[in-house]
Amino acid sequence: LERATGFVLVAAVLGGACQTTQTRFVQTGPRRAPAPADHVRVSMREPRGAEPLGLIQTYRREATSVEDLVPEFVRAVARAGGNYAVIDAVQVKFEEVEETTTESYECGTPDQPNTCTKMRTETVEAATLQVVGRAFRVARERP
Amino acid sequence: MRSRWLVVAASLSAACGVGTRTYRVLVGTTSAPHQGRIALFLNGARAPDAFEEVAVVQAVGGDMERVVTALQREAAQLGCDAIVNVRIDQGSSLTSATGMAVRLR
Repeated sequence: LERATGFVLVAAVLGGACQTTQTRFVQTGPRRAPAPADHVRVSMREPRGAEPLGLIQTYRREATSVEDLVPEFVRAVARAGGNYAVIDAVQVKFEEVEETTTESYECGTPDQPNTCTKMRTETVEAATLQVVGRAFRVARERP
Repeated sequence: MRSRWLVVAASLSAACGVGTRTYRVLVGTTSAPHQGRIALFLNGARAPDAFEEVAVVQAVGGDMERVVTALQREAAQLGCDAIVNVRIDQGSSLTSATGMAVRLR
């Protein structure tokens, strides 16, 4: 049999988990109407005399940087009605995960074309970036 | 073992030969670059009482020494003289360091 040579087509890359940003909010204070995100101040220090609204966790699998995640954290604070975001922790969790790739390639003959598939599993280091903090409502100073 | 982060970091900084990438999110006002030493205060350690927060900073790279140096360099460029709440996370091939770049008062 004459073996057909052809291109190996990467049909699918299966990463496993969802790579979108996930945000969780646990309310610990009064419910407030959403506030504009561009009015939210960001700090790692708790403000004095502020009203705590809740805990916020924002994380993303295969996240690249705080530049991606902190803005989402701030938007979550604004959605909770807060105008002051306290970042308590920025952490990266590294873990080894198995990633499976399926490849398709031509394996038939000119007379009898066929497509075969092959699965390959390898271990990769995946990172999950997480920002954990709290939403506060601070009374604005009057001009 | 391969790492997606390592590929990204290496490709983005290949020009200077160091596989470390830095990030920042401004939360205050920057000033002229700081020339002196940058103090580090690890997460959980007692930090100075009076400081002005300037930016959340992060460095990701292959080893801790380079990552911490890159974090300090990033803070210096923002006009900061210290980084508080520094946290270092270690993977099998990558290190991440984050903190708040500040100006001590």
